[in-house]
Amino acid sequence: MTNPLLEQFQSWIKQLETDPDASFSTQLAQWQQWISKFYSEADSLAPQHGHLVQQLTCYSGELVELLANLTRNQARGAPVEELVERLRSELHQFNVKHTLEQATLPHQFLDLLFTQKQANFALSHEQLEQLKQSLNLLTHPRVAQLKEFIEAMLDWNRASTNLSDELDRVSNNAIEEYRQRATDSLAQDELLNLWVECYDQSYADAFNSSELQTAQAGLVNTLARLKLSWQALVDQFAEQLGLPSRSQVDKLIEEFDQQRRRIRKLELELQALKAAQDSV
Amino acid sequence: MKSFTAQLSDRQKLLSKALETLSTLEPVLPDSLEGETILSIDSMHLRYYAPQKPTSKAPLLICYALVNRPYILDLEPSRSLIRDLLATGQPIYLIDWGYPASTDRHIGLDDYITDYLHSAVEAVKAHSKQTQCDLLGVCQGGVFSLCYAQLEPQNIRRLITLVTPVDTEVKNFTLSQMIRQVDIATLVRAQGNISGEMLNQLYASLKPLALGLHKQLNLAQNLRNPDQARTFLRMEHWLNDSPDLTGRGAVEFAQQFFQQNGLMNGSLEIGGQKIDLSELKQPILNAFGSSDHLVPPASSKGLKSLVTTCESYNELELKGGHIGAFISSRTRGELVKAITDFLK
Repeated sequence: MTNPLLEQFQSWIKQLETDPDASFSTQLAQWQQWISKFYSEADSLAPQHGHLVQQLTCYSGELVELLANLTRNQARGAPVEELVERLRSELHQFNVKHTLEQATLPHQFLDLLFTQKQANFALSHEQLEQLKQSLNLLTHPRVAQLKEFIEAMLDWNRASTNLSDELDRVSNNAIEEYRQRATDSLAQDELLNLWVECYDQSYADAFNSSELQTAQAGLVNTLARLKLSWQALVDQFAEQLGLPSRSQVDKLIEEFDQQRRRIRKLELELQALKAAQDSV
Repeated sequence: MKSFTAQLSDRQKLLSKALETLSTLEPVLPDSLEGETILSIDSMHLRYYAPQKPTSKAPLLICYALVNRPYILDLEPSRSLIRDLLATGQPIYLIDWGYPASTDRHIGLDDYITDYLHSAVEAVKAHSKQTQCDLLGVCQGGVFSLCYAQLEPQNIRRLITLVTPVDTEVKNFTLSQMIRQVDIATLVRAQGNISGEMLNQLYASLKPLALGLHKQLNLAQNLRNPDQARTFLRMEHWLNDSPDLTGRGAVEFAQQFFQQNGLMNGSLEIGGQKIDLSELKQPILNAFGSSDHLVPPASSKGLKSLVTTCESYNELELKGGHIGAFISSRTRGELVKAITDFLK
């Protein structure tokens, strides 16, 4: 181990060992400084794996924060709800995040959709009202595609809220289970593991009933329709500008597939002829 | 309970170890055997792996799933089902489905089974100079293998299914439950192919905390020393190396297999032909993981009630999950022995 930064870090750890009375808050503050140093110097620390160093330091920092919160709560006799709340916000809509990112919405709509606090993707009341008002103005047939797009966005928002509600139910059931099983004798790591187990079990159990299945599928289905209506809108612009549209590209791919099949059929016929010739 | 200071110190040491590992670690890629390519059609390639010593064993064709890459069967020398089978003298052929391009979106299940898989079987027969081969299907590849063995029974001597879903309506089959109400045709119209990234997200969401946040929080544990880190990074590389699923393939598999439970109720059709597994005559070995969260054992076990006229039917329950069942050192020996005995 020759990296000077890492050497300094290890000396710091040794120093802490010789000074068991170092205050918790001082230690935590110093730890956070180290985390931020590792993050900014990730590439020089591990030239082949800089991204992993960043990932590692980020989550190590997160975990220590998490455990620190839990300890503070325990020290003042508070229940573990704060830890649970923290975890809930971390995982909130975890399984829909990437699906939402797949939407590739136009930039002008991104602000409208993703300016919520924390990880809540649902539209605010004001944003919903803006969209609904704009629908009333879009009466001309020429803007029918735009109207359809906004309607699809409202449907998607409803589906997103439904799924969010179902995931809250999953969390609540997990909390109930966690409360029954968490005891004071468990270490912080064990408490975290228990929460993971309770949540994932509650989530899997919820999928055995139709509510979560419907909510999850509702989000995916409305997202697909949102994307289709966006594509239709872009097609309309493309046509006006004389650019190839998505539907034209689709048609080309279909023709390409037909050619591929024709060639494959010929290849197979040729193979059969060769085989017949060889057997003569 | 350990004090917070003591736990913080443990975390700091763990991070220090992980950083030390990463600072000296070379770039890590899967350490798989090359194999000889004996057939290529579109993006599909058929690879041949010669056994370590000459043998009279029947050739074994391995049909992997369309999703994820088949090198998980040979991730590294110490975790390789393929190398362990080769060491027993088993000649192996492996189908690599490749990475479908956006222009492949109209490739469907009939193309995969009646053209690509069938051509692979014919190529194996020609290359090995045998009239039949044995077929091992993994996960979705097991579904393809079951269909193929029923459509072309004369070509398949013995059949092995590994972590293969059959009954999609069993309890706790979260993946199937997630797909059940999805309008997959509309999704594919919007997306073209289903992206590998989206599929990865789907798998991770089956256990959202354990496979998401918790895995990240425990990253340092997996990087404690170079050997452990190499295996972990190879595994991560494989997990993130997901090919797209062709649009038509996705629609047909989701609708016919998952939503209609087509293997169980006999409604599955490939190339216009009904798949009726009660017609399967070949001996079957059905292996599955006892704690598989992706394909629950009950789903794999559904096969037993269907293959009523096959020559023999045996089940092998391996202690592990969907991947651990066949790559962990704990279960691989058991699996290799069962396969070797079954293929005698």
